[in-house]
Amino acid sequence: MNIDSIFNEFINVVRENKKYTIGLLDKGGTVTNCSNEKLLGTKLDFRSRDENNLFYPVKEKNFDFGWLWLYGNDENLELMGNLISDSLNVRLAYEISQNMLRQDVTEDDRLIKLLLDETIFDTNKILNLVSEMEFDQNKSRVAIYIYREKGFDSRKIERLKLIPDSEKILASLLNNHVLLIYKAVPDGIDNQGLKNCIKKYLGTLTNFDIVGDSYWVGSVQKKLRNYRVSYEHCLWLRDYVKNKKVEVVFFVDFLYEFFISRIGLKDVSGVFAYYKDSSKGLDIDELIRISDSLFENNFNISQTADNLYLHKNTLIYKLKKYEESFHIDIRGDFKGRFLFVLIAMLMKEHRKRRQVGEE
Amino acid sequence: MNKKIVLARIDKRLLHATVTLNWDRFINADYVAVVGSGYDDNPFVSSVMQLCLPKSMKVKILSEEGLIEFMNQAEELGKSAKVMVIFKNLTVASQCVRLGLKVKEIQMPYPSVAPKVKKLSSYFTEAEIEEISFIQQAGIRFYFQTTPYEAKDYGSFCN
Repeated sequence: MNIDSIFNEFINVVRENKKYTIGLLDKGGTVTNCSNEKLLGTKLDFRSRDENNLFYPVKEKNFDFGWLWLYGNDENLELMGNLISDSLNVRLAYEISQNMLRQDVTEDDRLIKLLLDETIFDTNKILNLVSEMEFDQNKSRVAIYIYREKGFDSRKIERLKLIPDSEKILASLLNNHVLLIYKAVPDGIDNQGLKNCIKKYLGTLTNFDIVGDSYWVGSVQKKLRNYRVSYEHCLWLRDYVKNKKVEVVFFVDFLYEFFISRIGLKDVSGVFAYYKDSSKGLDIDELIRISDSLFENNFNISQTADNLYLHKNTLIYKLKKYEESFHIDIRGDFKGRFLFVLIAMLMKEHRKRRQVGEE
Repeated sequence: MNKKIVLARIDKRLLHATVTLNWDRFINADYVAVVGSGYDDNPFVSSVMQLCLPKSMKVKILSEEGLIEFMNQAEELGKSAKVMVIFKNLTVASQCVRLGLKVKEIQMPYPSVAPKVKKLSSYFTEAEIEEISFIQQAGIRFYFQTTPYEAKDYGSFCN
């Protein structure tokens, strides 16, 4: 911390009052900063206090900055000296504390950078830093990816660790718009417990003006090596679930979609493209609508028909057509349902390509 | 009024480190209003007191009337501001209430007497208890809390 820049603020204020001269002495008594620049380098005896020269120790939190010197020929000198000394010490305590917070943030930044490094998981570096930070690596944690269109105020982020229930977090501003937090959660927490815990914590952040436009919550992880996986799950959610409302999206609610998305569409295409091509007049948009609705309604035919404003028999007729086209059993067989969802995904991809003029 | 009091505290130490370090960062105030120091009409002393915090913190050294005026001053259009108010003592706080200050509750640090004592008379003089009663009659609750880590103690005040 640079005490001179802080002390210069004091000098500027004291200079407004011609009655006083203010100086900062090092531990040996040499003037290192002063409202009267001609006195810089002068040596003073801080033990010889008199009615015109007051000296106060400038010490805060194990930091010894030397002595504050106030010179004046004024009956209020003592009062002013006490006031200036108090203000300077309070200010230094404040700045030291802010610096310590900044240091915490810097350490978090370093650790998160190492944990998210795509090229290498540098075990030694990570463990050394974890030990240096006294970071409890045995806690279960979950990644929370917070996006804010207007950008975050980095000063507010520095205060993150002072917020109740935040002492065990790891947090870093990945860029001006993205805040990544690894939040500790109780071991063995169930899905509902996790949601309650995270929502409560995010509510607290809101009270402290740390507000995002969108929140994505990854998977719970215990091992440092897997923190990156939790972050990647947030990224997948971000791309898959475009939440426009301010709401929290949890990875645990999208496991099925996640795994489905991991199946190579080329493989699906390799199997079903022939059938698709040979089925004349197949309405792709309608197939996708029906598939999505069946999925949302847990493959209940009546509910899906209601949802699509179709007569149940009309829906069954259409499903029969799909069954014949693709040689699968959508209505009676779990495997058939699963394959139908994959075909719909393939169709979505075809539709996307068609829209951009690839086909 | 688009200024909101996020913390009102009576603390004779005014901008003491306990206050600035413990509270500001927890309540994220835009302004710190120090009321009743008696220095509001002394620009030099006010300037020195303001040095306790960086300029970005916007410290205001105000009289009781000055606080009311400040609270009624509008912020820029569409903006609101959070204010932490520190009263020098109960008399200053009650005077602000007389002048029309609206606040839900007022915080006081625990007095340095045995913490288990729950009677107000153990903590305050009769005159101070009268001030407390007056403020409570205006619908304002009191509580003891020295640092943000402690729970609010409303019990002693029988609000």
